[in-house]
Amino acid sequence: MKENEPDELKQLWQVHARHDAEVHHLQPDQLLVLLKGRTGSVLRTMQWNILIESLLGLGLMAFFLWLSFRLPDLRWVCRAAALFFSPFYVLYYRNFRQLQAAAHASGNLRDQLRQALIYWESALRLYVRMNMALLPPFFLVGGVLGAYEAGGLEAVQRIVTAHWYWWLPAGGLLTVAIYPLVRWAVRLFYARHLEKLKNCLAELERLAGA
Amino acid sequence: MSAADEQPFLALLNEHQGILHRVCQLYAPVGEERRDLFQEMVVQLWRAWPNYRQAAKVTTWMYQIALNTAISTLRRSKRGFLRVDWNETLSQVPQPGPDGAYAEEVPRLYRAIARLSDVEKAIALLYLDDLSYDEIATIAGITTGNARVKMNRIREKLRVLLESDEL
Repeated sequence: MKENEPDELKQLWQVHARHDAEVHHLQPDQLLVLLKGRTGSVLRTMQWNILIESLLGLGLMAFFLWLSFRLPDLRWVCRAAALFFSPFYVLYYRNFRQLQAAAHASGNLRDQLRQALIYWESALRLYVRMNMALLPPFFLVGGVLGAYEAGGLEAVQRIVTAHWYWWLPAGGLLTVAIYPLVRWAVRLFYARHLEKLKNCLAELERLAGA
Repeated sequence: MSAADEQPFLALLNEHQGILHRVCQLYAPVGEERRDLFQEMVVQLWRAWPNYRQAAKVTTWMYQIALNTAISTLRRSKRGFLRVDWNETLSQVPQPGPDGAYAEEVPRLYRAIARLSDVEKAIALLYLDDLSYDEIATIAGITTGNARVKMNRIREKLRVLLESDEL
């Protein structure tokens, strides 16, 4: 092999590639089955996650509305919690569309990577912000419901009226506590992959600019 | 998309499926990963089919989608991110010819290509598939001159690797 020159590699590759393609050749009916299959791409997985989260959000809205009838004392808290979720559907939709656009990036390899990265990073940023905005208020509402469960309306009123000045710092603290968790989850699932794509794009950009 | 769209697409796919097999050979040569990648490329091509402009050469379009899918697809094993064990992998790679011709060369070539980055693999594949530098440049999104320079570097890298005793 030591005497192998690159063009011999081309010949070797082509002989091998032809043989490999023959071994793995699929019939049209087998290709049709693949065509009907689902994509397992990370973008598609993320879109599914967003769909599932928005469905869970709908469930939560319905739960809070139902709770507002079950707990007349807390009906305004429950209705506010249900209402709070509704504007986020615009963001969910936007997030979904961004990922859709990333999945349909077109053109040459460099353009596809560049477009996908722009949409993807934007979708991830939005995803982190949405979680940051949604989670603290829901923890606080959970706290109110817990207080009600433990001590009835009196306990809630005590917390709301006597300790009202704790609410804002508590919300802030929750936000600070949640931020690293959300960032960690996003990094765990997507950061290495994003890093890999960025490196590929950087290599192509260097080549284009060389 | 309707069933009427399926037939021309399937005919095209059937005719040029070798491109997808060759991309798989470089990025996920065997087993479940290969099947997953092949399926993913078929699905992505099918999705991109309505936007395919007849003006572009069909093989150029297929290489663009297939290579982007191979580079962008997150492949994971049960233990985390996919790590290709080339010793295990090469034992499953079909050898060209029933007489076992190139039995020694093919594994060395694979090991050498495995050392390249994903972008270098893409350019090397296009070169090995005998595409012109113009086509390589169009697919990768770089200039023809840069494609030539890069390929020369890759060839040199492969030559050094193949001459070394590391493989």
